[in-house]
Amino acid sequence: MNEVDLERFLGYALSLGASYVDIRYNEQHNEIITIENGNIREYSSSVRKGLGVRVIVDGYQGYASTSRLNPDSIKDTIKKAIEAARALRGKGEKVSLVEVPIVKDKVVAPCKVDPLSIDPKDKVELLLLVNKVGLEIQDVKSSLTRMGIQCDHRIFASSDGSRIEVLVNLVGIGQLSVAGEVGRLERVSDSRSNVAGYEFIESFNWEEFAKEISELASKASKAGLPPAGTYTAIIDPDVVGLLLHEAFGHASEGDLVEAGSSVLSEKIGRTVASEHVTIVDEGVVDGGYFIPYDDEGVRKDKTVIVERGVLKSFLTSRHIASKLGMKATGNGRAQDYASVPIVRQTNYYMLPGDYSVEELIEDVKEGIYVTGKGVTGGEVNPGVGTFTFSVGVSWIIRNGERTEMVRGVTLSGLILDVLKSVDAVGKDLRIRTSVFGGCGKDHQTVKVGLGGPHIRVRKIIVGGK
Amino acid sequence: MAKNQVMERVNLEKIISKAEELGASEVEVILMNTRSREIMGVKDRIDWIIQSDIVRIGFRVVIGKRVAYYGSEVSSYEDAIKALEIAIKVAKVMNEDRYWHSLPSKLGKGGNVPIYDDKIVKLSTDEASSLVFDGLKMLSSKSPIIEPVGLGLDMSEVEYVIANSYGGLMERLGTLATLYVEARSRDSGKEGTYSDYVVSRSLEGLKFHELISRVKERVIDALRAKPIKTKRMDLVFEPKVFAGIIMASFLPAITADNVQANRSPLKGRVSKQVFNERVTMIDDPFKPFFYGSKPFDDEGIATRVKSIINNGILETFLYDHYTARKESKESTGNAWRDSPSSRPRPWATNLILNEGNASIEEIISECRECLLISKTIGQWLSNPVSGQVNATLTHGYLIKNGKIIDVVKGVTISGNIYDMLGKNLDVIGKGLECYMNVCSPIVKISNVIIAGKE
Repeated sequence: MNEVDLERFLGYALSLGASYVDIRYNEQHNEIITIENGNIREYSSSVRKGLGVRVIVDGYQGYASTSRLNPDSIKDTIKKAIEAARALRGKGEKVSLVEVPIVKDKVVAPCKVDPLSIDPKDKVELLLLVNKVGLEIQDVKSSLTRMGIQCDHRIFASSDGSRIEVLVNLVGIGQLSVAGEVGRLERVSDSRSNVAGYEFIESFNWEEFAKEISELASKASKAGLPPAGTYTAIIDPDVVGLLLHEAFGHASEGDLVEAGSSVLSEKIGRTVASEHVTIVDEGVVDGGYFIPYDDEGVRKDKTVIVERGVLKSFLTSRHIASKLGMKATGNGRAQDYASVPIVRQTNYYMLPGDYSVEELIEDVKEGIYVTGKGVTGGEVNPGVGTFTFSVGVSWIIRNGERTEMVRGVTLSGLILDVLKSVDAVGKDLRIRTSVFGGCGKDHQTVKVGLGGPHIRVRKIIVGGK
Repeated sequence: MAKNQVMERVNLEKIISKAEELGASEVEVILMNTRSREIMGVKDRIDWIIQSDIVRIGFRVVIGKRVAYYGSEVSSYEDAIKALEIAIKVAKVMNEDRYWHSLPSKLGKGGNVPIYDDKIVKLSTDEASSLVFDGLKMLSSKSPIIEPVGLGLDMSEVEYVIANSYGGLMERLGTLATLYVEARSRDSGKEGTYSDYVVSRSLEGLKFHELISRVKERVIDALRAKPIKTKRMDLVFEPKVFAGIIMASFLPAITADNVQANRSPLKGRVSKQVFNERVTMIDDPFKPFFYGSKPFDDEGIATRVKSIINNGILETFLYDHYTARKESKESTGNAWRDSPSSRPRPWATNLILNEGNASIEEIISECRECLLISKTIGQWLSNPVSGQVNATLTHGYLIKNGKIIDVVKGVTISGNIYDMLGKNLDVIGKGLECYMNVCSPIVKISNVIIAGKE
């Protein structure tokens, strides 16, 4: 797709009656290699490429997309987008987009060695070695090692004049170990990913990584479940990131606020967390995914969502910003060319405080230390603020000390109650993204970054035995 | 359905010949064309109508015992050949898979099952948007305390064509529709929310009005919802909730890939009692318009009905061709692919927990103290390796002496599927409903831990 083609298709849409049009071209290469118990289970690669057209006609917007990249199909797609916009007359709402600066830019995320250029054999050999280390630990019954590579290329062109191109490579390795005896099996998984080229894979000790996970799985299979009840909890950065993203981040997305399905609606300026809590969303940050611009051509800077416990802002797209009377925060993101940009988080995290992890634990008479190693995810109802998460291996705390390991821990509660009971925040900060997963909303999955420091929560519900 | 304009039947065969010319000893080609329409209603209006047309090709290329997968979105025959060349390049450098036997040599249909509803295809964009628009109005009509939050209708038609080196070409054409409804209620300073959805291969199967009425009724109940104390209780699960629990905690444990890799607690348990003797489950690909219905699986092998659990006894695991050949067995016709480029794995077609006789009214009337579980979140976090079940109740009803007396939310449910459908199973009732491709009737389980307020 070159500049001349883009101009021609933008012009074609305008000639059919559109007052605004943007065209997004996206090409995405994904590669996944899976080794299971010493055997290559899967080496698969795929390419997604196509374009999507968004138009505004008589104030109504429409969207259509195609993978058929020939001029006739693209013109058909433009016609379909216009048909979709016209069908909204009398049933939809006229759309206005807040003004944003016109941008012409090309950004390439840091990458020294193109991961797709590496000989597949080298990748497989490394994974076989890592997998073997994972399998050799006592009691381990299954070792699954994966490598993921995603190369994402986006071009954005609008009738306003913006032309933006962004290239991002994301690579990582994950390990899942299952240990124990039949009837008492436990799994632990973890992964490390980075926006980088293959140099990230080469610079990390993956064998040690797999060994640690397998040892944890082995210990966890012998651990018991914690008694169900309400606990004081020390929560590690992985779980803090997940909790914030799922239970609070989604509720701070402007489209949910506008639709009345956010627990944060009408709470700007109000206290929603303890004074120790400051939360931000930032497009480019160490350890996170790389989002210098969103899919509406808006620059993504740092947005302060909560400052010392007070709700300051929501995340917005151009349309939602206009509806809420706010500015566009650069959060209009689309999974791919076939999806419309909707309000999404980028790298959402809590800023660090003053405590060391030891100090957080030493004041706890009875409680639990929960970690993200083996976390399987969570689910929330952002309208009410209820959440539930299945977290990784954890430890019971007694008299300021970590004691026995427990497994099968779930956390649940009401997010605003939990954030208000945060009474101390660690000085560490860790943000992570993952090539293996992403955040789902409205059938779209996008890469995000999550994290924060360790925190202490005075009251949280723990499910167990 | 517009016939696929990119590649016709003859070209798939041409691609297979080309692959063999390039050095592949076996090759499998999948072509998938998805045309979809999505109508997103928000509050009192429609925000988006999105139309898309995507053609994907997928290859499984084999050179000796070296296997590679590759997929791409394609615009032309030349694009497909380019994708094929990359797949062959990857296969050449792969290590040998010592368990590799072959691609399936016999493709075929297990029977005829309706999975295509032309009403979905014929509904014009204008008619579909009117349906959504009227649905939004219906949600708030005669109930000033209810506000519609969202109403989404997705409709697609999918053409799936598969062929391999051993000849035969299988084609299936299906439709799929999803309806999602969410509402909120406000009254006297209190707020409640409720959402629900239906997936079906027919327009009628969406039960449009029934879903909207259910959401209206429950969003008003949600105003009264509150947590209860931590305790052990008898739980009555509504069908879709329990189907979700079976999918997360049990279904992965009966797939042969997990069993062979020691990730299933059911390894070595075929012909053994794993559940209460009242539990019977089948895998049935021939239920008209069900989500998982298909005449052949994602490798082109004929599907068939099979008994998974018979009176509590585990009868078989689910196999695709690869996992079956590893045990010198025949595939059970359960290959599933996430996309044309992914490796097939065994998965259920429609896994169905057989119904009993009791109606929901009868089950409730016999409860001394029960919690009726209408909606949960996080049930997919349950652990199929251990069988542990976790879920958080977001909408339920407290029943005392046969009567609903309160609305409950915000408590977690913890248990183990082998106890729940084992020693703690009380009643399997009627009223089959599905969560994607897992279907369950209403089920009552006794003595389950719920964690709520202190």
